Amino acid sequence: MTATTASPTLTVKVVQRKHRTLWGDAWIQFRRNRLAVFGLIVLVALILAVAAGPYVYRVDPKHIDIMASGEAPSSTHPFGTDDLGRDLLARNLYGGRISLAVGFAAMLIAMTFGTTVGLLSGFVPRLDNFLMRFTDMMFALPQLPLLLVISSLLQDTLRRSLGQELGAFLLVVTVIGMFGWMPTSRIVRGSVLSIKRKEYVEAAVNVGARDNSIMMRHILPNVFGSIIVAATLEIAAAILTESTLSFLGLGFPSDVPTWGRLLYEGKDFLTTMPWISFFPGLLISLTILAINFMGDGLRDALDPRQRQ
Amino acid sequence: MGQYVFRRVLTAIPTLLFISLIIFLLLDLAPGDPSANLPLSIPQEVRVRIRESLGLDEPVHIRYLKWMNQFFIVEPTAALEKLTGLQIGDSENRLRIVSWTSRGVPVIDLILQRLPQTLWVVGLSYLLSVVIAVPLGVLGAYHHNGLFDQINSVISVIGFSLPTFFTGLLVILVFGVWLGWFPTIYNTTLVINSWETFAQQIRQLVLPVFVLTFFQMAAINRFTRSAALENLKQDYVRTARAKGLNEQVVVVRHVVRNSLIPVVTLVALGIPGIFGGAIITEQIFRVNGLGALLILAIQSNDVPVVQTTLFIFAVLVVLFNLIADVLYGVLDPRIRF
Repeated sequence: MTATTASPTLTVKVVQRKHRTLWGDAWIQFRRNRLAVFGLIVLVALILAVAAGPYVYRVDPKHIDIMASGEAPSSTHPFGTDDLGRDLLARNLYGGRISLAVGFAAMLIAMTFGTTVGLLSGFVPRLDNFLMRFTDMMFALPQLPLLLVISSLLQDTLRRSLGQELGAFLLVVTVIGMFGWMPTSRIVRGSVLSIKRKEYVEAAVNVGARDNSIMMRHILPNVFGSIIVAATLEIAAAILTESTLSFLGLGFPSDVPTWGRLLYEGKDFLTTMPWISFFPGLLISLTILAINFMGDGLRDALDPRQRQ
Repeated sequence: MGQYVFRRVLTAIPTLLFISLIIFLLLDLAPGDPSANLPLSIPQEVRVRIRESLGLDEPVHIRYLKWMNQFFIVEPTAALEKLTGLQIGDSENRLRIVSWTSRGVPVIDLILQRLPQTLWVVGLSYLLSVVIAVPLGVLGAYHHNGLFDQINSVISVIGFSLPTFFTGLLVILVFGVWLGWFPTIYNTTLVINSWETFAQQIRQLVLPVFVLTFFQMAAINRFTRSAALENLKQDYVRTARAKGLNEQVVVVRHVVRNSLIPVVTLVALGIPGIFGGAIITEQIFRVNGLGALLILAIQSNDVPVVQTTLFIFAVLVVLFNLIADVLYGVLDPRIRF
């Protein structure tokens, strides 16, 4: 941008351009995608609602009022009440906390594991074959049936030793995380393999950087974009899996009202009280839809080839 | 090519062994004992004999080998016998894999009973979703960023974002309960012997098939679209146009044919997944297919049924992975092994 020339008479005009970063560029690109922005807004709104909602809407989600059972949505009970007269807005807000927490926690587990496996197999040729065969084998497992079996087999023991809520939470999160890391590890491995050949990595090797610092300082930041995209989609997948498990009666116990669980409880009252299932179903769908829109936007934003 | 197929089949074997071991150990080491639910009034020595008759007193590796023997040698011979009518060895005393809850019925028979229902619903919807999604995807790519493409893309994202248990309940509520157009419960005892019963079968298929198709279509649609987009940019498309071929020929003969290569792979890879995904749809519409069998077996702690269904699911996954790989090589002459 600036140039110091030999001739002192030449006045050099310094053009102050705004500093641009990868993430800044990505943000500009992301904002152009209307659906992605819509997804982001919906997701933030949902997170705020379940985080702050119970402090604003102070109704006990576990309070049973049998006189008010099965009421349709009204001003006193915006989402109606269930067959035991519990307020469904309160239950949905409370359940959303658990559903979203499961999504994020399972994503963290899957990303940590997937990134580690991917980095190692991309960077350490000796481990590559073994780790990738392991990933392939995990891919070949029938996921949903196995998830159902594992959670039904382990739920009693874990709940007894860790308590209803925590036991179920840990079980669901671990199980979903353990089955969700494979796509990430493949993506990360692929990116590592191509980045490893780049000149700046060669330069780093030549100046004597250690393997560890090459991995952490030069390679990981460059695969971060794909990890973020995978992470976003993994949250959606985890929320979907949790609600599927709960919907089949194999996730959380009955007194922990996650969205999937609420839907499960309402499906027997579909003809008489459709609102019990409708609202949690709508919330799950909205969340997943928002996250998927966002993931698409992020993928385009973080992919430099798509830049205009 | 032949050598490649052979190698791929060989690598599938350790995968299957690994999966069988995981499934076996999972059910074996998990807490819960099949004799735990027996009444307390049963004397201790009878209890011990029950455990012996179930083979629970032997060490783990022996039981695993015995199970493998049952699965890979005993069951196939029994099936062969049934097919050909021949008698092979001592078929009376053969130790089949038998369900614990439905007394003495071999698990394979249970599965064969359930399979037609699953295939009707799942197979039909998968077929439909491929038939609908591929043209939509190609059209979307052809009118890239046009109005049709945008609507199509948004609907696809909605399609795979809405969980089937939600769309299922919604369509039951709207078309089954409010409008009363279609039955909400799938009647599996229906025998098709006249036009009337055939119409009934179609009517009860509409809702579950719609739900599954809407969900599965989305992924195929998006995939076809991106494959076609990639191909439309290629030089050979420009050459084809430059030669003066009309648009239809360019798109159908050149672009679609090449775009279908990865799509065929995706479709093959998705087949085992739909059996798993159908579990939910089967629960909602009360279809007593394979998924319903698995759920029932899980709830009643029927280990042989769970093990066998799980393993069959796993075999399907490995098999279709293999088919997908081989198909890819057959369809794409650029890929040589």
